[in-house]
Amino acid sequence: MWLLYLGLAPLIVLIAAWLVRRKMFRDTAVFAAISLAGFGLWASIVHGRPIILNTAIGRIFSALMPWLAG
Amino acid sequence: MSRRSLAIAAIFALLSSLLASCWDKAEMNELALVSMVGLDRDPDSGLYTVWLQIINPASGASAQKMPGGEQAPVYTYKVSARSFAETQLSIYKLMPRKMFVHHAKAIILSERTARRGMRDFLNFTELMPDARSSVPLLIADGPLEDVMHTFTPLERNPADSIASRLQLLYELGLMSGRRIEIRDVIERSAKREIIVLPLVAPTARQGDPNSWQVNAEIDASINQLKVGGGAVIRDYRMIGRLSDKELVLYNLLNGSRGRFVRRYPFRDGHITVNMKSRRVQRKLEWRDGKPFVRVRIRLDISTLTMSEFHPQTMEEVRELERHVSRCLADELTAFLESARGKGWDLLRVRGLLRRKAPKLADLDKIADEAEIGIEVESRITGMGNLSRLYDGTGGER
Amino acid sequence: MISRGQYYLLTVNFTLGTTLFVTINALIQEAGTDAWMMPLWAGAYGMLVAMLWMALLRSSPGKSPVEIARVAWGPAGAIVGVLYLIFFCLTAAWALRNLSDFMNVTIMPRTPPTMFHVMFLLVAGYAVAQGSETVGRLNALVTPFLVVSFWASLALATAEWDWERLQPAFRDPWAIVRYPDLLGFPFMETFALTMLWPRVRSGAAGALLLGLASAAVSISLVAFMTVGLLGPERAARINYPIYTVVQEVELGQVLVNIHSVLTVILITLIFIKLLVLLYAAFETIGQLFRPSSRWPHLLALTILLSAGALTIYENPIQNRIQTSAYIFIFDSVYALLIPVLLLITVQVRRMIGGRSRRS
Repeated sequence: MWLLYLGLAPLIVLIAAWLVRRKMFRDTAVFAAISLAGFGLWASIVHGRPIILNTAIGRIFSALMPWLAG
Repeated sequence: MSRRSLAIAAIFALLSSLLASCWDKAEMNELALVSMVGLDRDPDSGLYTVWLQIINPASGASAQKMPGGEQAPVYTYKVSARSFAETQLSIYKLMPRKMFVHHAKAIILSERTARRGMRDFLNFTELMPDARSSVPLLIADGPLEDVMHTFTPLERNPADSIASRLQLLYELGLMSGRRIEIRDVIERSAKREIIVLPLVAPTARQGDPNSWQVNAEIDASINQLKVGGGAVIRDYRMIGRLSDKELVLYNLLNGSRGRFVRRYPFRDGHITVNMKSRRVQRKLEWRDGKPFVRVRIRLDISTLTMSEFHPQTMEEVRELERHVSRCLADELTAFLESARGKGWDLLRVRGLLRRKAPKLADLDKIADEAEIGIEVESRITGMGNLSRLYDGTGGER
Repeated sequence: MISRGQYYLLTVNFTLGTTLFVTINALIQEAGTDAWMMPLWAGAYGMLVAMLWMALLRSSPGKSPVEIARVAWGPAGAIVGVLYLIFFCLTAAWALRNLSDFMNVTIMPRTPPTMFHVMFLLVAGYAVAQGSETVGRLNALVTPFLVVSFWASLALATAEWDWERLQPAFRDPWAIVRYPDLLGFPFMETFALTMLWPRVRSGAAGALLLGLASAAVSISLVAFMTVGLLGPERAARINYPIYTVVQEVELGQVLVNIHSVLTVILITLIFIKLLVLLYAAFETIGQLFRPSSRWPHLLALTILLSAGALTIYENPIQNRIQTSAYIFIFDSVYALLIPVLLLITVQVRRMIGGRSRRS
């Protein structure tokens, strides 16, 4: 668990900071968005409650189906 | 640019230290090479017993010349537990190296386990991704404990000895079939067809010899293993046996291509014929709405073993061919009839019907009642070394 | 820019990628001895759908579907682009997880799956950063080794062929209608290749169609051989039947353990698939947001995909249950629905624009 916070978080922060220093703000935004999504998934795994994407897609479709059919 | 390449190279170099095989590497001298496996289940206590015969790496040709006497070519480890999985783990109470089953040459089941059913064992084997199902399966005709603790002369690794004997029996005598592997048992039993597996038995025991004594003993028939006969398996269970003679006929009917020998009465004596099956055809025909299985066997006869009679004219040749064909056809018909009397579909008629006429209802009943017609066609094609036998007195006739 | 030959090879390897070892078992379970027919129907369907994509791509030459969406729908197009990014990321996570499952079950049981994921992503990311030429040439370079080794291994296995295993034949040729999953995976997933379309010098249409056809025939042949070598009872139960087929190959008494060759072939095929998907995802990011740097986004994708690979499904059993329910719809949205809407929009715009120019 500490590997996540000690390793991955600083990595993301450092790269984001480097991008900001190079004044590539759009890059920073895109990088932050994707890597934070990844960080969120990793955090869920490490804390023992992974967000299973399969099930999520299944739920989205189950919710959409009556709306589409009806 | 080169700084970046250096950075990338450094990253990959660092990562290669985490190369995946760090977790899964296996050094040769950390492995126990399994050559033969014995399996038994005690029906009363429910205990599974596994014997693993491990190759002794120090018993190679170069090691034999070293002082200190001979090393055993194989070591047999035995362990019992409540399930197959537990035996796989408990073996490490005795065995100091990691089990490596890829090179196993034979698996032997006790007869009582075979009679009760081997489906669970086969499921267990197929679940293991590293156990090959293309290994011959044999049934022990006698105590499995003795079989697994027996050395064999000439071919020092018992599993190799058994495997090469099965090969020789198949090629030269048709006393073993081609389809005797675990995967064949699975395929046939899943289709509810019959398969015949070879039997292995310990021969007469004299004392408790070690490997050196077995190799120093002139009588090679004692204190070793014997392969022969067949165990009839259906639905993963052993339901009977075939004698050597019947085994040859079974293999012949099922398309095996080896040579075999038959001794038939001829004129006022006997004749020994060496034959090789060239083609066995099984055709399904319909007569009055009833199935008729026509079996056509084409054989090549050789005069190689005919030390009693050698045909000199074309009439004699044809007479011999016809006689042999007739005798073999009669023998096969009688064999099939006795097998059907026991309820054994040794010709696998049911499978034939299932493939050619799958839409039939009540396949089993129709298969049982189907008529079988056997036609044998033999031709003398091979020769021994003599064109004419020595005559005179001093023989059998 | 890549040549049409390279595009063809990319199509074939991409489609074969995970299909060869994830779906063969399912195919034989569903259709028995007629399993070889299902990929042929699915391939025909894939080619039809590909022609739809071609119509879309030809309507705006030099643009990938994401760019077309941006132009045609403005800000809504950006959302479509993000949807496609999610699609490519999910598929890539799937492919990675299939790979680590296979490796863990067969040949490397103790290696943590994340090792496989991260290693593959870093190497693939490096290749993608170099551009489409690298992707195309790399694939063209490894394909001969893949093809020769794969078919040679299978050819060696034919010593155990038995025609009886394939009988009775032609009993269930329309199994594809009952089990349409194959239409989604892999044939609609090949939409990812459309992101490479603008980079093909010429003749991309023929290459794509021919690639899909070749892949369909290959899968069909592999299913056919699997049934002929293992029999429908075993092949329907064994998780990775090709691996078992090659495991049981015995060349004389000497060459008895050649299945690691197959493992390497399958790893390489999945790597190609991952390469194309990563390229598609990277191009999508590039076309949506026009960033100035490359490697940070590839690193971000590595973080995201390595996590996604672990969470994409719980276990292969759950995967099969879930995908059989939703895979067709899921892939249809991305490969059918959106392209059709885009095509209609573009054509309508063109018609309106033409009319207003004339009047």
